[in-house]
Amino acid sequence: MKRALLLLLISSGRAAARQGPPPAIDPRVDATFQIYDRGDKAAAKRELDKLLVAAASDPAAMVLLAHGLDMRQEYAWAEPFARRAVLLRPDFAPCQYALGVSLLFTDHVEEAERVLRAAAGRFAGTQDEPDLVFSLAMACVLQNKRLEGGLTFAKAIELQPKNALYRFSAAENDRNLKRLAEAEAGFRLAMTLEPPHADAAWKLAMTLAELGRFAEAEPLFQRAIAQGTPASRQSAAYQFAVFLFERGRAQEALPLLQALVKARPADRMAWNYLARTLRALGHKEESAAALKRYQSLQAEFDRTETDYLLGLIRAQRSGGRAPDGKQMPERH
Amino acid sequence: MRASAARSRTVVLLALVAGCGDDERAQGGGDPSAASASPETAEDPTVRFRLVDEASSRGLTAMNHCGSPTAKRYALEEIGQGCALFDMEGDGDLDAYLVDGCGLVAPPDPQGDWTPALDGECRLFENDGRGHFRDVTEGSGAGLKVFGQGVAAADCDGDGDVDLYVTCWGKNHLLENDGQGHFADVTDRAGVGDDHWSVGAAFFDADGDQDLDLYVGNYFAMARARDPDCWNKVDCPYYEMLAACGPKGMVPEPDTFYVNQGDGTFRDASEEAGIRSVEPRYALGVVAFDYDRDGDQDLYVANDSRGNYLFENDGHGRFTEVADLAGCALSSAGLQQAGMGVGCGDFDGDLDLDLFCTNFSHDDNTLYENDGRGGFLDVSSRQAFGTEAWLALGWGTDFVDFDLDGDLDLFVANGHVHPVADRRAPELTYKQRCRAYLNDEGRYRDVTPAAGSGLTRRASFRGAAFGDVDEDGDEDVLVAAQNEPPALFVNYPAEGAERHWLTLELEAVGRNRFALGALVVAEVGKRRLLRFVHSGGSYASSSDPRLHFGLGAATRVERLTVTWPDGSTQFAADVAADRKLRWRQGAAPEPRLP
Repeated sequence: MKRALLLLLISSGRAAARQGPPPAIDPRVDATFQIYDRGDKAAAKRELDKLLVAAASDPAAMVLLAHGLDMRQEYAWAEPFARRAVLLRPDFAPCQYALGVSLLFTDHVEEAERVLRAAAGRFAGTQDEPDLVFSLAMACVLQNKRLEGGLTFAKAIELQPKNALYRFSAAENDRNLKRLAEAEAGFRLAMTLEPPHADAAWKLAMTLAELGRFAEAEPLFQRAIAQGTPASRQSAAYQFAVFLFERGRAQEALPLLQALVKARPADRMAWNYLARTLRALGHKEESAAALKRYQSLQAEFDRTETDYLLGLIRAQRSGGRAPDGKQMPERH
Repeated sequence: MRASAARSRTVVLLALVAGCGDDERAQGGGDPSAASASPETAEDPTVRFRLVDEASSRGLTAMNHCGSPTAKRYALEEIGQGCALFDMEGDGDLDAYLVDGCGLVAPPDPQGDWTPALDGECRLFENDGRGHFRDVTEGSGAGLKVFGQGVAAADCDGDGDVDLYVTCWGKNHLLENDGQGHFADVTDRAGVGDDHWSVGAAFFDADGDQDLDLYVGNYFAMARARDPDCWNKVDCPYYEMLAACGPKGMVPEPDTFYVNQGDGTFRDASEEAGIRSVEPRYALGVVAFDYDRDGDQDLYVANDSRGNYLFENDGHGRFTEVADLAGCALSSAGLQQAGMGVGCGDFDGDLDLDLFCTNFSHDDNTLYENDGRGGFLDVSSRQAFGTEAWLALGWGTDFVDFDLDGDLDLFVANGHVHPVADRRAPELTYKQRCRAYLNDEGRYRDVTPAAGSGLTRRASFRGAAFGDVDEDGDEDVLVAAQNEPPALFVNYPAEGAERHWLTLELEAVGRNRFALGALVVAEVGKRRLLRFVHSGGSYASSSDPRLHFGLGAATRVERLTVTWPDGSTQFAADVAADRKLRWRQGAAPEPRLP
């Protein structure tokens, strides 16, 4: 949601349709974001901590801070501002939305679902409804309530049929549920709507490969590698390398994987496939080195996960809340 | 989904009108217990078999015990038991063994270990030759009162009868058969009483000396001596619920490998064989097979929540773990899946052995296609396993030619671990349906609704054993169920199905008499069907080692080629269909008696 619109809405209180000028915003809000955007996160955090106290009764400041931090993917930092904003203006949908989003991305998904479900009901028929419903769908699928998630995505799409993000997320859920025809249709729409979803092309390619339509998949992978965002191009390159390896085209997969491990040296699975590709090509020593790297990364991942789990079990036993999540990792 | 929902509605209406399952048995009686199940069936003329649950009417009524039926505090109470189909007295028919668990007793001292309540008993059932069973546990010596998990059945002492190795939480047990179905517990003498929490096990000839060695897959430590905190790890968050903890966060137990010393005793060779050179994981399903066709028996171990193992044998019983490079440790998406059961067979007819792993809910079961060059490709996503398979939690499994058309179909026993999963219904349920997948020229599709009323039964199913219990030429399935009697899915042909078959019982020279590891190729027209003799596989269960060939419309096999465990080969030409043959090494196949 754009900042200006947010301000206008919070000043008017859409539910009551009051008119009035936008409120004056505490100048420290912008100053804090400027500090953050310059890269001094520690200083920004100190300012944020002060603002949480100093501006505690200012709903506009609270929601702007929550929203701004969400936009910067600082969801854990956003959460207390969003909570405060909800407390001050429970009738204002963006407050609920900001809280829902910050909870979603700090892995407190159950609470996010509760907040978003209530808000989606409360703000039904308003222009905030689509995003609330969509976020509720995300909360569902993040908890593996895939069937309900599918129905909820469908509702969001009904409200906003030309939203590529909605189409993409619904298609990804369909792909997980093995509804490949529906997934294909969804990814195609997510590619063609404006603005298109950056990852739709290579996800469509994966879906087509799963349907055995390899010839159709290949140019889509190539297109995604050529045209996507930097992150999307890397993901597409990885998936295309896997595709090529599985089609027995290890020689073509090799340069993609070599580039990937250079760009993302901690990418376990890129190292894994690199090891397998090198082995298929008969490069035993290089394969062994890549395998060693993969296994070391995997072991580190396992250790971290185990430590997290043991912490979670201890927190559960003592009745505390896990600091950055409360879900067991998926059992796969 | 919309199409399938509409179809489901139609199916329910049809079933209400027609009376579900009335015409699904071309022979034999039905099971009244099946009538209470939901009529979620459909007509599909391409499905030429029906699975009917006849456990109750055929006498397999033993109740399973595995902790509380509804409130399971520890994973011990959740992972469930296996079963076996084996010929205990050499009379040619398949008898049944149901491993049982029991309840758990809290320690008087909070710092002590929980102990087994011993209120369950493993049960032995004798087949009367017509597929009806009688409980013969009493006095058989097989009625172990333990916290049992699984069973491996094989002639481990080479005396011509089938012995039982029962895995347990606590000491495992080796039950030596006297050939008449009486068993003596020879665990201590044999030296195979691994006291970890063991689940899957497999007998196989690891070192080529023609006797059977033993691999035991171990899960995690549930004893304070090995994990002082194990009993305190309870109430782990599972979505919005609390459930038993594990395996992640628990202390994995190392697997054990025993070498048969040929004198009735075994030696723990885990270290020298290379089994302990890898980090311990959470082993469940185990199968021995020759993945690279180099003539020795390799091992595949399905690990829960960690990468699976593939131990490559150097031909002398020394192993190197190669699953990462071979591509069968993880899913193609790089996930360490929750490996439970494992099936092994040539699903695509290219004369190498492929693998199928069952996994946790909200995940694929994984079909690994052997590329014939020492590698595997995860081809699961190209199958039509469907939404239900992805939501289900799989256990016992194997490749089975249900419709006797020559290719290998798939069976999966399902059931969730956590009873609280029901709070997530309908997406998650504790009790689930077993599922059947039809092989359509190398691509599987879910045909469960059309595969007979038996598959409408919902339970928390676990281990599955496969074999022809009613001696009609096709394979049936025995499936253990948590805190319930088992299911016995008897396989019946659809009306008018053309299904010829051949059953082979191999008898090798030496002490590996049942020829574990032997490969047989049947040439039928342009097709070549590969089957192999093995123990282990599935989940904690043991299937009949006899080989089943579905021949479809063919009435003869042009040529049979057997590769015996010692590497020698033999041929037989122009073999008539619809017969049960015994093939002794060095002799010609002959009708199996009785």
